[in-house]
Amino acid sequence: MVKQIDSKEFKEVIKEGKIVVDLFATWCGPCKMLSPILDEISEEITTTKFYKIDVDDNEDVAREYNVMSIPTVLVFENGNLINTIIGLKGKEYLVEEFK
Amino acid sequence: MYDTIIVGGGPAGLASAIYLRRANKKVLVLEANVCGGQIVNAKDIENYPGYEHISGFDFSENLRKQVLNLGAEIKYETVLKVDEDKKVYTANNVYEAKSVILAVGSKNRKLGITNEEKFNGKGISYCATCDGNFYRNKDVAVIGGGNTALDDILYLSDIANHVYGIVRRDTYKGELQELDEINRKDNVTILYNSVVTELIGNETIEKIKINNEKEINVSGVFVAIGQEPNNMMFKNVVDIDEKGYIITNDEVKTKTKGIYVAGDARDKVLRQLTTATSDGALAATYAIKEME
Repeated sequence: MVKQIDSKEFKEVIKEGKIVVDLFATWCGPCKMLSPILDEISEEITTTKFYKIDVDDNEDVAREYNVMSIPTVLVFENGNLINTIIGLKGKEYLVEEFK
Repeated sequence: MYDTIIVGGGPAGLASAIYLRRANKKVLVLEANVCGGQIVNAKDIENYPGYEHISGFDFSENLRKQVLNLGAEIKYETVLKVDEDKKVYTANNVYEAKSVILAVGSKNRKLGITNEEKFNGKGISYCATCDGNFYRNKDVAVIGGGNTALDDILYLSDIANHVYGIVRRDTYKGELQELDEINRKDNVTILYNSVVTELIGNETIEKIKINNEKEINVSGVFVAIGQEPNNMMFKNVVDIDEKGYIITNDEVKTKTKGIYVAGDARDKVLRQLTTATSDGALAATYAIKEME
């Protein structure tokens, strides 16, 4: 299962290593579809850490990264944003993007 | 070897899977993204018989579980090609079946203007129910002249400060009941005979140009100009019309024996949840008959 964090934890966890963060909201259908896919991928790609963050409770993160569409997946490497994936994508696509 | 391979896990494909499994056929559904197709984005489905209200997510999940419980197999792989012998090719595998049902659906039509890609997710959205909340108390535009555009305008009018409906023709082609409701809203302006010709902004959209002259300040542009098919990879086994849809003989058969098409991908008058599942049932029935 992908661990849910808040914006305070977010700032800490992205600092080191490769990190995938799923920005979602509880009322968003496509976000609900994406969630189990990321759960599955997180079991398979163990070199990357996966987190999710509810944008309704953590607007500051969405604002900081100019996120205006959900689901959006942010990929960080040692604190630097290296990839932004906007919208619901399938497992095949995401695995390629996370490599 | 499968009895039937279904390409696409939307309502049409999964409806086929239900009928095929109930006839005890060995079924594989190949889905490129997630099950449910376009309907996943629907906040509330109100026109599917038997449901007064159901969210697109709940509907899709129910359907997926129903199909799995009936014993169909679902694999998440993108189909690249289907040949006449009903061999189905994905990036890493080749699957074989006695029949194939193409239920590949369609995708959101793009505006096709400069900067659309640049502003995707930065002001441009194809899903009002997903992204509407980011535009709370802001001004937005909804482009399109059909039911989806009307749905989006209504939905956004409760969130945004002001909503501009931008429609190419001098009227909407949708449910009049919704248009009446929209006309009663005081934060909606409809611009008829209008086309967005430019998207303007730095990091995000700041304004749009209408008919190459008038500029309107908006933070968000919701594109609801319909769907477009995505069928060209099957042109070796099916005929495709000038709009890109698979040509059928008024039902769901294609020119190749044992290859059927169901749902939005085929030429038809009405593309709705009800007609998608209807196509799926019919394609499965033909496939079953032919295998007997």
